Amino acid sequence: MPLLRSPVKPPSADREIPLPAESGAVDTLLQILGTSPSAAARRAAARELDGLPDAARALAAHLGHEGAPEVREAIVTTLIEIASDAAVRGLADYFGSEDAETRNAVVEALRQIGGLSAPIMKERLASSDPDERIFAINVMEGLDHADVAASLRDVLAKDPDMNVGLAAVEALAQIGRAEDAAALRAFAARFPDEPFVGFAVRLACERVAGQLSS
Amino acid sequence: MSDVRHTSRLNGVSEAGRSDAGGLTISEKEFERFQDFFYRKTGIIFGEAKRYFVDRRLNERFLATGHETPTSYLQFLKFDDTRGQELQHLINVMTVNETYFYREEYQFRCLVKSLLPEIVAARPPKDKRPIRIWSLPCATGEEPYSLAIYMLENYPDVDRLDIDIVGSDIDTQVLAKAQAGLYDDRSVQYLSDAVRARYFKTSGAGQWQIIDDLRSSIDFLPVNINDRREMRHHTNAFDIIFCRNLLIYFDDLSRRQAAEAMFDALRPGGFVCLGHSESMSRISSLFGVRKFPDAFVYQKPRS
Ligand SMILES: C[S@@+](CC[C@H](N)C(=O)[O-])C[C@H]1O[C@@H](n2cnc3c(N)ncnc32)[C@H](O)[C@@H]1O
Repeated sequence: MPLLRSPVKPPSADREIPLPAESGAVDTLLQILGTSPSAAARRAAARELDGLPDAARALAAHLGHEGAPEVREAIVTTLIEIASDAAVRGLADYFGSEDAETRNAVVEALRQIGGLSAPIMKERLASSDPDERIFAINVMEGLDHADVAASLRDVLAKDPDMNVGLAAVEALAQIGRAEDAAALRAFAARFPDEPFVGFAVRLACERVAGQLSS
Repeated sequence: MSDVRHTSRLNGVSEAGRSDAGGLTISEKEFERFQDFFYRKTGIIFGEAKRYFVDRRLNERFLATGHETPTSYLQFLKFDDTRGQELQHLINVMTVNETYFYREEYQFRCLVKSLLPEIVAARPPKDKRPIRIWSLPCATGEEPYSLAIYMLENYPDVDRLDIDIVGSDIDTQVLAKAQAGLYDDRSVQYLSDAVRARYFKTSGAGQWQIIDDLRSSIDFLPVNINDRREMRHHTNAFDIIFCRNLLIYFDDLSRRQAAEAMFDALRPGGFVCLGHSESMSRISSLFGVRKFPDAFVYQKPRS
């Protein structure tokens, strides 16, 4: 047979990378993440930190400095796995990032974290930066969480920024129910001179009309 | 792993008792607790549509282990099954192992026409390591044997290269079958008579067994793609991974974890072939997409 049979021998693991169970692992791993010139080592360190929730804040902080995409991806995955309050806050701090790819990655990650993101997204709706409020709404759109619709209706009633309101319209079009139609129409009434608002609201109302409350 | 992020809305199942099928009725809460536990171990998500299937399989395990309530069985799994033997039984009954020879053949064509030539060309001459191909998951073995047969039939260079094929699955029962290499008519239906004659011996009506030479040329070993400890042994170890018809059983998070795991298992420039219509969450940030004449394939960057 031309196909070779060689016994599977595990290639020796990267011995610099301590396993999470070893004492002092958090510090060592964070140090590797922060200082190693090797992207492979930084990536391995980021992945090994998944069992160590204490690392969430520092991991998230490193995301902004990290140049290698595969290391950034590992950091985000590990933060999703940690799924703590600190992880959610650390990710949400990148709503203001200049880099669109980072913002998208963060929105997707917060959606994957799920219900735990909801209360913190609600807090972010009070931010003074409309962009940050819009990203919080984008996350909420992907959450199957009871409070979300109520928060979105609140945005429709009160948020001074039309674009933030439109993000909420779009979100409700995805996850809203028939009972949200009144709040949608009331939002359109706040901006009577903006034809696009009327258009978006009509579309959203059609979408939610068939969605009966559970 | 983090908790399950789906909620199932089920109707009509309530307090413990006997169900129509004769087994124990599993309440919605019990089902959710079980799903959560199983998801953490395997990455597999069932969803409502599979409820009947899951209930039947669970009942087989209640009976086999003598547990009288779903809760006591789950307690046993969590706290008393220290060597994971019952978990393995459970995994073996819960997985869907459907597969056959030459499934999605166009990807094998892509392998011999595009992937292998590129891997060979990109290697420094001093690199004498075998080219390693991983069928993960391999189920009952049709896929890794197909890889071998297809290369032997269609890739002339196979004679001067060292190629190493490994088949892995989370289900140990299918691995035993893969090792035995015994198949029925349905499984081999897309193979030509010539191929059947060359690589199989018949053993009774409708029974086909892979010839010994081929059987012994493939390594089978159990692997859970979402188990970091297991996957760590395969860091930087493969040139090509066939990961077909697995991600469909996963949710977004376990798909993402599988993508991370495959990235680490591949050598630089290595390829991942997914089943048709499968995708990995966030794949584009880890892998490049390559469009070859026969298939789309994902590639780990070279540097
Ligand atoms: C439908 S088969 C696919 C077989 C083959 N790749 C094909 O496409 O024909 C899916 C296999 O995935 C395996 N599997 C499920 N979860 C897994 C996991 N976490 N790690 C490894 N294998 C898994 C199952 O045991 C099953 O054998």
